[in-house]
Amino acid sequence: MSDSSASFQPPSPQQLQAHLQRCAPRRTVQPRQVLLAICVITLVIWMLGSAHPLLSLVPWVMLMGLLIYLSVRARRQQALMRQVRVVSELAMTRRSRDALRAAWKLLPDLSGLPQAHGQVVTILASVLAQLRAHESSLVACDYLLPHIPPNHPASYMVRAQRLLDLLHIDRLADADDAIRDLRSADLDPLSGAMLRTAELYQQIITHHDEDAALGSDDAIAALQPLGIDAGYGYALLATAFIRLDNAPDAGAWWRRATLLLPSASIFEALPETQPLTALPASPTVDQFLRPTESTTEASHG
Amino acid sequence: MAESIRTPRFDLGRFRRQLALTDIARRYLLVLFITGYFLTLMPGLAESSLPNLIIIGSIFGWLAGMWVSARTAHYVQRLTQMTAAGASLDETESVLGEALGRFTLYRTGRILAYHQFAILRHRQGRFDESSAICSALLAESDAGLAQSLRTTLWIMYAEDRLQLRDLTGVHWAISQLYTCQLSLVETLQLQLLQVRYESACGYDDRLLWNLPRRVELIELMPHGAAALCHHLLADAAARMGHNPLADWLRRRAELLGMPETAEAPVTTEITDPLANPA
Repeated sequence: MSDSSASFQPPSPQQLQAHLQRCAPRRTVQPRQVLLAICVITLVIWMLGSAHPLLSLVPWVMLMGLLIYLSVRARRQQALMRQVRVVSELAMTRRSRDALRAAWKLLPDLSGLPQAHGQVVTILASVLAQLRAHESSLVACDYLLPHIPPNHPASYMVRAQRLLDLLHIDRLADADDAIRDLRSADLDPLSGAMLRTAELYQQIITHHDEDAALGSDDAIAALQPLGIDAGYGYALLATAFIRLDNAPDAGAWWRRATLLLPSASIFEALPETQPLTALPASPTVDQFLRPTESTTEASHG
Repeated sequence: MAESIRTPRFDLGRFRRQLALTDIARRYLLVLFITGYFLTLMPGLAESSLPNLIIIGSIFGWLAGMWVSARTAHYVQRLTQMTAAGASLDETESVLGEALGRFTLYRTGRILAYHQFAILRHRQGRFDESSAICSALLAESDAGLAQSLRTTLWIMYAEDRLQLRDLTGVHWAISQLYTCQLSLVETLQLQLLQVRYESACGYDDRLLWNLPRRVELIELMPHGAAALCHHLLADAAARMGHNPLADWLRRRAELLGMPETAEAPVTTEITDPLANPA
């Protein structure tokens, strides 16, 4: 793979699988184990009666070595955690390709930090899905799930992400199982909203438009935890309504969707929403910019 | 089930005494060790067992201190995990009681325990006490307080002062935050604080200044915080007479869902959504 972000392509599932296996977390020597070894060596030297004066220096040299090693290790860990934060921030700001590249390069260095390793694989799963590399995202999710307790909120998030990946690659039978599994779980609001989006997407790709439309009454409350990403769910509802020839409702849901997200982002992420291209979208903040800025600047003086 | 330990009210004197005791214990052990070492070099005492006893005593003292400190650190770590997992306040309070009452050789351990104390009081809505703890901890910043911890404390302090309607205190904290290097999550927390502060002060023109950039940041917040910001911006736009903009912001606020109360401490709820604590 090339180093340049622009030409950095999402890895294939096989490439990702191999990379994850290469970079799997490994057990590192704990400082307390080294300290115990130093204590044992010191005791042995003491029992021998320190025949040579240089021998009595050995424990001190080892202790100094341990302190230097610990200090270097702590600094390295801090530097790695800063890099994890950068990757996370790239993903949060939707710079998916940059985030993917940075996460890919960082992963080998995190084999000694299992928690940070898990966090970066979670980010990988998320950005791969944003880049529509759903098969690879599925590999990342499948890798993560055995390492997270089943009732942990992070597990629900990963399972919801995995469900969306399954739907995007048309593994509908597996997706059905995943939906049943998630429905029976006690989900946090965010995972619940992700499940609802997945259900809507399933209804759209399987042309169960009536079912999608029927569930529209509580859609706003159900999708709210997603923040502006709820716009994707609203766009799916608009698609269901337009397929049912209900233009007024389709228009209303599309205006809600585009109030939160630019229409271009929606069409890119969900090609199924293409029938909505003719509908008028909500204005963006830039359309209000000129009068606001001029007034504000005037009042600033 | 054992009755939960009620943590006493924050006492600045006790906090300072505990920190002083930590420093004294550490320095005393170090001085003891160095004294013992130099005594072994003195011709008259080289054959005596006294220097060895002093050295061994200081080492054992240090190891015992480390063992006790590790127990304290364990409680602090447990508290951090409990806070992240949103554990009940009663449960957190009982663990906190254990952490605060224990001895530690390290200032960092003591400061982190009090940081958790501030977080608990903040979650309990006891903002005066939380801000007092933050203020005491920030006063210790010269003693090697990590930059990230300082930022967290300033954010919590600002939130506390905002809840107490002390806008001067909020302004001071925000100005301090502008001197810190912030992560994206901290930038979002600062943005939310600033919107609430400017709204409370009635600085409508400042609220709408550089609006596209502000909206861009607000969109990265959790829905409750984002809705609150949109709502406050909509009010400012309406007061400034920008009715279409106010309407646009209000409709977005409605879609994002208003939090139960605008007074809720939502700043600390902004976290990294991709962080995997498992």
